Amino acid sequence: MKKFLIAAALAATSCTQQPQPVRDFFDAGNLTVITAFANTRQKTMALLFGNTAAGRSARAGYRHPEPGAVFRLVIFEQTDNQNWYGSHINGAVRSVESISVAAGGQLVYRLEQGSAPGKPTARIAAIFAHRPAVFPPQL
Amino acid sequence: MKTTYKPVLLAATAFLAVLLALQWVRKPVENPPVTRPIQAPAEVTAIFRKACYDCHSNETKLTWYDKIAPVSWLIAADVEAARTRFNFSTFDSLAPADQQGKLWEMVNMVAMGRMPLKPYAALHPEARLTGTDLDVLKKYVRSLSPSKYHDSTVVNQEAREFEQLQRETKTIHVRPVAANGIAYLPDYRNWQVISTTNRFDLHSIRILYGNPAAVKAAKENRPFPAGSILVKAVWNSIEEANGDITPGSLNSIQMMVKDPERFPDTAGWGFAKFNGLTLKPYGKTALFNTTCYNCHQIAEKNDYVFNLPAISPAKP
Repeated sequence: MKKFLIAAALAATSCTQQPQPVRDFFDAGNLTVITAFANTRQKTMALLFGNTAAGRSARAGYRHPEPGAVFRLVIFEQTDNQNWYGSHINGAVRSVESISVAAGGQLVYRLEQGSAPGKPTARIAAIFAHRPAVFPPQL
Repeated sequence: MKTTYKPVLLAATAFLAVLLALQWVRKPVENPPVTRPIQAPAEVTAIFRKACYDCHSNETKLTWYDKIAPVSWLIAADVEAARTRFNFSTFDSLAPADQQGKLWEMVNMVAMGRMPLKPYAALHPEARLTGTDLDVLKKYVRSLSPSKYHDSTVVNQEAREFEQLQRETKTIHVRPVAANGIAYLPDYRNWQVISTTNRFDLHSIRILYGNPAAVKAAKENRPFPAGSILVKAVWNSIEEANGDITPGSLNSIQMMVKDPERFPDTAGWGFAKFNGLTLKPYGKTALFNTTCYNCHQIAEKNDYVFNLPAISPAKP
């Protein structure tokens, strides 16, 4: 018993010496950012991610989203940036929504986390209203 | 008795002689003329006068002991440095945008407790700023940076840039390099996003990316190790009356590279900023690195990085 307690104590101390993650970032996997937006009245900040097909579809104005395209919208709480008066920074995730384009071109909407402010068709229209942010051209 | 007294007297005389000689080595602070003083409401300038003017103006008031070397040397060096950062006596000669930027920086320096300098505030309690003073300053800087809803300049520029993006007509043939040697790195688009921010001082919306080394350090809230790279994409924001903020024209791509051997004087960080769609490097000489670092000192406790989200509460 005594040996076990010592081992447990050692394990506990070695655990506290290991750096523990204290910040969580939203992991979008292999998706990249299409655009960012915010609303100061609703106190939200958002990132719209997508795969390559989604990026192409967004650049083309979402007219005929390509089959295989995956969009993911993450909405965060808006918080004050503690390091700079004059800046907001994203807080906790409020919701995650996704739109995938099926082989026949049908749009499949899913609410993955939280609640969404509207029905799927309205949400798809709202998400597809965001044209991509202009990043620098390729080298 | 006489034998012990003499050396002490001798030492005291020598000390006074050296002290006297020191007074001619360097002149105490001088006050050049006030040419273009800051133009601001009286309640704002009153705060600046009581807390900042002794160092950041040409109206430095010295006490008698401030004028005695070597104390006067320390003060002269501080005042000289302070006046190069900004000088309220010539402040109005700066471009309006530069004045605005400096004023927001001042407010943040005060908010973070970095200014007035602690040793100065200890000797001059009247210079300390109250919460009310800070509120007055915050209200003032906000009044300088009002939202311009649906700003047509940004909207039209974004429309042109988006068209170029759609047609993919623009390419960059040569990799841009900043004056301190930091080269633009396009890989960031596949990196982890650390945060998104929007600013109501400069009216921009941004995304901060980190390479794996930087992301690991940020997750564990540790100082960034050598090899960490942060890249921030910044757009001029389009703001609407309903609260919407969306990215407008591309402002810049900014980088922070941790390389203590190359950048020992700026806490190991090399900074870079590539402006607009042409990614024109900011800064004619490598000195710009110090300018970036000076302002980033406000975020010293985060290893000089401003845009890290708050730490999550401990999990049970």
